[in-house]
Amino acid sequence: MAKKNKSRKARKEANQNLQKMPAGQLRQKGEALLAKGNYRDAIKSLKLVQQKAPGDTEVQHLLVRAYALREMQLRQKGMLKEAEAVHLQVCQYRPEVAALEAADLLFFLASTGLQNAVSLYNTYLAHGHQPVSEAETIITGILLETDDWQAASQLADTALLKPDLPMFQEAARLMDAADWESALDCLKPVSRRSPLAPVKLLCRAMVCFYQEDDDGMRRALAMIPDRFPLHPLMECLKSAPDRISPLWQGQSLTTEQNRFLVQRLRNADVHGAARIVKRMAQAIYPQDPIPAIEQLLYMLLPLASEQNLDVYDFVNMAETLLPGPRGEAVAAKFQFLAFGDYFADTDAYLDFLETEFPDPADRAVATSMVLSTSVKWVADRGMTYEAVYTSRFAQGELDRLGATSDDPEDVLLEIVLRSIELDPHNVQAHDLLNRLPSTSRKAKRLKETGLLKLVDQHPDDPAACIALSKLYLGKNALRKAETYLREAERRAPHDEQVREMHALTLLRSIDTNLKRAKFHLVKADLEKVDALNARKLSALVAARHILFEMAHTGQLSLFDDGTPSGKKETLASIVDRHTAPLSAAEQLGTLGILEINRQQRPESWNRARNKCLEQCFRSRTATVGTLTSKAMRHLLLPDVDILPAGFGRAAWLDIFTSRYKKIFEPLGDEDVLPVMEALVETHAEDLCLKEIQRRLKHTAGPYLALFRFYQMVIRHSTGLSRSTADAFIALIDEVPSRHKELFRSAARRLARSVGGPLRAALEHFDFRMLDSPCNCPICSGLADMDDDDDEEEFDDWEDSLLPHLDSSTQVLAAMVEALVDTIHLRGANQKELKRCRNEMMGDYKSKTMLANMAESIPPDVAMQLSAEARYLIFG
Amino acid sequence: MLADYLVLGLEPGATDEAVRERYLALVRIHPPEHDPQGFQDISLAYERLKDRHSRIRHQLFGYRTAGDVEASLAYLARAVKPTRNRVGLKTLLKALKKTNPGTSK
Repeated sequence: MAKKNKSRKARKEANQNLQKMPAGQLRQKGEALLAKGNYRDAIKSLKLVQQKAPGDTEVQHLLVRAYALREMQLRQKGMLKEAEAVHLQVCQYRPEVAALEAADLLFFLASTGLQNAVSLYNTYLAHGHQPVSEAETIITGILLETDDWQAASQLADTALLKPDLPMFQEAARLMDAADWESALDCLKPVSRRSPLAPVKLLCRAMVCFYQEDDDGMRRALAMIPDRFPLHPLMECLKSAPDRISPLWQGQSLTTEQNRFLVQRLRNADVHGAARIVKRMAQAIYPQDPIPAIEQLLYMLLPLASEQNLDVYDFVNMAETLLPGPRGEAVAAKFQFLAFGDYFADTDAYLDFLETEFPDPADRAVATSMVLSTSVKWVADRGMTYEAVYTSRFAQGELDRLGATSDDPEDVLLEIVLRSIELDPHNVQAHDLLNRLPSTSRKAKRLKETGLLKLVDQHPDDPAACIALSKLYLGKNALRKAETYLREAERRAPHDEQVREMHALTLLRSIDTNLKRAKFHLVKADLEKVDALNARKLSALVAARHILFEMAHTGQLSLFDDGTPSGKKETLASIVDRHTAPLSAAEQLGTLGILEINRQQRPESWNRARNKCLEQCFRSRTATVGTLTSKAMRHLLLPDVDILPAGFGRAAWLDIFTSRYKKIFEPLGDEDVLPVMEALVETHAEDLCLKEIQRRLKHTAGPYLALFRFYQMVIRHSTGLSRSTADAFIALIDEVPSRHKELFRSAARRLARSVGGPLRAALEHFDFRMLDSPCNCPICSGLADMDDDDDEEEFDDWEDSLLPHLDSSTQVLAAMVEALVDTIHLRGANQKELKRCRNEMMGDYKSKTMLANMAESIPPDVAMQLSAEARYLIFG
Repeated sequence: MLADYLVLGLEPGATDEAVRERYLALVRIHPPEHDPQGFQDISLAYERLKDRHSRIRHQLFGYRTAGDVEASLAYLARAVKPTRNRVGLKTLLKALKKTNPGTSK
């Protein structure tokens, strides 16, 4: 009560102060209150001014404005009776309607209700004024809000809106029924200048909104004038439609939610993460959250490779979140994805494919993909033997995957064949069939069976024919290989690769028959190879022609009418005749092939021929300098396939580097790098260092630093001068960052040819590794430990232990306990145990050891293990 | 998989034809010049769902190689959009009054 009296007293005092104020000050205060939107106090101040200075028209104008705005404010608040009372004041103070200007009319219309607005506008028109379209737009807006069609029907006949009222009423009904398209259709005849134009634009905006054309919606809304009474709605639709909740159905995911989920998992809070996954799944797909949970789990799986988590956490989470077989299926999938290089996990996952792929056709394709991918992982990681032999010692698993053999090489091929059988269009399986090794006779037969099936199943695809011909080439079945190459050519007549392959096969056949002195076959093959016109192999073909003519001397006349017998042609003229149409690089290539033949078959090269060949090489010394950089690179680094078997790149390079001192000069800086790498690989480091020394004198830019880098690496690896890590780092730091990638890739390539810590430093492109001691068994000296000592030690330990143990499983259990003691896990808490187990599971050998132990220890022995040992082995 | 269906606004199990039709319709609405992110998402979803082999391959191995978990989740978040609800003018005005009292008569 006291508080109420106090406020009343304060108000009374304020009133008294107001009345004491001079008129000018009061007017200023009134104007300020009006601007602030405090219309009630503005009215009070301005009324006092009017009492003190009656007849001031400006004050009267301000006062009527304040009354009108107060009326609008009360209407917005829904205080209609109070608004009507204020409206009477507006009517009392506002100018005569006859004298009202258009702008004032719009103001008074916008501030009042529909009935008052219609009445005011009618009076305005009755005084002989022209209809005002903007004024009727305001009436239209108020009409849409109030739906008072009775009041609207009282509009004067001269009003622009009057004839369109029935159409407008129908459109408004459709708008309320959310049929915005029909409303737009209904308002089709409305012109751009009509008072109904904003309504039509609103309909167009909503139609665009439902067509998900937000730009179109914004364009339509931007054309609606500000004075349209529904303007606040337009603004909201334009700037933040998502704030109008009835416009949307369903929930959305926020980035905060995602971040929170990942954070939980990184903190190893699996239960918390599971709760969030459940909540998010509800938001993603409320109809059926299970697929959404699966989706989220798959997305989060890569986190299993992080330090705090392992795949078993995800397996547990899947089994907690998903009911029955769905959870088991996801868990099996996780195990397969994480350890797919064990066929046992592949087999376990295949059991659940029916849950994931209920359609049999889909399931066949999926099974085929799982099988081929599993084989790919095993082959890529070079784990064929481990995968096959550690398949939990159970042959049954492999049988289910389609493998019956014991040989690891055959097992992979059998699984691939099964995969192709299930889905003949499995490209990965085709690729595997081509590239998997097949050294044994059975493996070759399996591969042949599979490829023959592919040749029949894909009658337009040359790939299987090429692969089959390669297989036959490997078996030296050259005619069979040729048959399938001809078939491949029929299937892909414009494929250059097929033609080259065919030509190479024929060249191999020529080589074999030259050795056997079956010249009629050689001649036939040479004709075939000429007909193929394999441009890239012209040097090889020319060399075979020369070798043929060298070998058949004196016999050819028995078969054709070629070179007349008795007239002996020198080797130089034969070489010149066959190499004349070739380019300088191809000529050198031909001589290179002849040199290979000289080295491999010295019995067919007499002294005269040797001399003649050397002369041919010498006569082309001048042409070496004229070769382009690219041509020289192709000459020095040919495709290994074109070199005869048993003849390596080192010997090929030696043919040219030993004869031509300036052989590297035509090579540009970019092309010389692979040649240098080949020299390092073939242990011709001296030659490489000499060339680097020469280039360092006149090269600039990034290649200068790169040559210095090559020089440092070669000197370090050959022991000429050991560089420190700082020296390497300083050299690389000098290079601008945009050229660093050149160094990184060069380091990766060079790593193949060097060894020791330098190799590791080059592979990781981290030269600090050169200075830090290596902990690997080789460097730490563990590898030098005598294996016999180890065995003796173990035997002693075993002998002392065995008398006290009943069986081999108990020996194993004792070993597990010893392991727990060795790695100081005795008495460790669960977190430490988990960390240790995760670390061991991350290492292949430890993982295999733990898996083998878990397999071998029977449940009754497992129960006797200590808690630490049990956790370490079984998780 | 579900995320991809959501990006295209389809129910899981939609036919190849439905996927293609929806993809073409969405690409027209989200051209790369105006909505590069949207276009990228739509193209990615289409690539994964366009035929049986792509669909199965993605379902089996799609997320094994997705190193960036955050990016995958962001893709999902973009896919989970609330649908547009059909409402009339009166409902809109009433909602506006609730959100922004005093802005409408």
